[in-house]
Amino acid sequence: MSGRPDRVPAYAQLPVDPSKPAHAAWGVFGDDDQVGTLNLIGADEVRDAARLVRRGAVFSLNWALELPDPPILGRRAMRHITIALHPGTDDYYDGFYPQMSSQWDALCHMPHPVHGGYNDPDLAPGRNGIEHWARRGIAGRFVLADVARHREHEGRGIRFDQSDAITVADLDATLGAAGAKLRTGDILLVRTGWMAGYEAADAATRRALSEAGQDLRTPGLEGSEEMAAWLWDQHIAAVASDCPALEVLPSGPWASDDPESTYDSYLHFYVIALLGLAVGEMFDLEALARDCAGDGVYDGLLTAAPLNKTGGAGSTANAIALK
Amino acid sequence: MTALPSYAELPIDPSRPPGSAWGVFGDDDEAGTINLLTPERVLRGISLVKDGAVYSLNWELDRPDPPILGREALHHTVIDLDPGTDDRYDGFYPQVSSQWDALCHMAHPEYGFYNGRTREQITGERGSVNGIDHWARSGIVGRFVLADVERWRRERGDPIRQDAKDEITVEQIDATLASQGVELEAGDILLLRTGWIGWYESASEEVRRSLSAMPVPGMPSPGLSAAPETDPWLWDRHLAVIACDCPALEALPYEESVEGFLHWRMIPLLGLAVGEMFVLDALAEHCARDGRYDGLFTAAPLNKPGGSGSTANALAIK
Repeated sequence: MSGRPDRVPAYAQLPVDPSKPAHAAWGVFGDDDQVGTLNLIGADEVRDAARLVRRGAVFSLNWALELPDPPILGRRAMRHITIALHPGTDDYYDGFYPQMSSQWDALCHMPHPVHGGYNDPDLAPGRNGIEHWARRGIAGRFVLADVARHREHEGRGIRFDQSDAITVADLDATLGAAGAKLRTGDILLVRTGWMAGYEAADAATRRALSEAGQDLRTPGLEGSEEMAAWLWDQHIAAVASDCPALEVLPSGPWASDDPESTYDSYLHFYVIALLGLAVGEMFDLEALARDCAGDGVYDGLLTAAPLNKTGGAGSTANAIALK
Repeated sequence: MTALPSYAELPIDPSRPPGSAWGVFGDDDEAGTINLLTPERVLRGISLVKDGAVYSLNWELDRPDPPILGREALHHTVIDLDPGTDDRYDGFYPQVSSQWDALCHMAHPEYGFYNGRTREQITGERGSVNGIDHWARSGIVGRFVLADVERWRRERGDPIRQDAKDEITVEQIDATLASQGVELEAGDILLLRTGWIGWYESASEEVRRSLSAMPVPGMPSPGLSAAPETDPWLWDRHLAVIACDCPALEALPYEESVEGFLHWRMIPLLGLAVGEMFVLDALAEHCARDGRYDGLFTAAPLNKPGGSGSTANALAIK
């Protein structure tokens, strides 16, 4: 069985079954589920989100495929080969990482090193691929938390090239100031300002960011269980941000000489492996954020159609926001 | 937007090729009929969302398998991150499965690319013209109308032949829409169902291999007729998009002449946005069930500067 339960348990009530790892949402949507929190979007949520579209304004959230340039976090630039047709052009890509620019993390992208993948303790081959989201599509209400703008107002502007951890208090304050309340099944968009900083950076700075590898410093959500619990307790279907990894960097076992010491401070392990949360990264929120600041409306309809690649570890974002 | 010229009024001045819409959206335009997707038309699509039912129109990236029309299968490499996985595609043709043709995909053999652009201006890099990035930046959102020609033909005892060049005429589309009780409006996204994907899915491996072995101008398959009446029909409905579930929108194999190959006219001359191999079967079942053949369409093509096309990345919402 798979799907949305009548009542979504609180983080403190997880796991729903004592045989599952502590604070894992495994089994909440069924033991065989490979979709995760996107189950929280039902037809009613889609319809209600469509009603939020008042002006017919469309915002593409997809950064150019070749940004960041040069790529970061150890990925390499794709090669674009344009083929002459008679007359016309076709093209193909070599070395194309679906997660190199605006992107979704599939649930198979990041298992927990001790407990395993979402609903998948044995890491069975072929589980939790991006095709599970591609087949159903992603459509629902977005809420923008423009933390960059809020922190600027507070006189605590976020530096795009520093490890600035955005806290639960920052998120609550940002949403509170915007008068935006999260509802079950929402898609939370968190703007850190990283992309604006990157766009303004010169070529030497961009090269240095690329060469930093796993030591790259960026703002992002705090890597803590408190943050994971907050995200779960909003009962959101997805969270996406404009920074490289959703969470503050450096983080994770690759950025430490003592990988095990990072297990409790790496948000990806909590939210993807244990909670089944849909995570988006490097979404271009700039134009949308300007619009929201202009009219004071921070919600609308988001649609996204991930690449339908069986067993894919992620996808380009393919996301649009409508207001 | 001011009233568009009719097809009979094209070109808008004698310096442009006959039957071309060059200059209609401005001499600098590289987006073509996607310009018709105004906020009003976005809201028209939004107003049609009644059930909250979402349909992904995107076939698996590995379909058709083996690939057709001379393209090759992508090579998927899963990279062990320990813990976790990343992945990479090599030999990835964005037009291998459900897909958009960018305006730089197809030129007219005499007049060149849409709005007078030349092959030299298509570098595939930043600054490349008529690329998929124009549609990626605007997004593709509006009202879809499904024309289920497969059902209409089947119900009148004349089923579409999926392994033949079965040419769907504009009269058949009009009759299908009339039987469905739905009318096209300016700026619509027309989804044309031939049933080809469903047939392909049930075809034997041997048949699939034989289709793959017939490169351009392609294996026999159903699709839009390339007859001269198709062009004025497409333009005068002021469609923003036409997308289908067959390999090339038009019936294959095409004849290599301006008269015999619709792509050489509708893309370079009219600037029409064309989608191919969209999965329409589940959507069509819903439409047949509730009798409503329109709704909201959204798509976010890959934001590749100078790209010749993109995966479809399309949803229909009713």
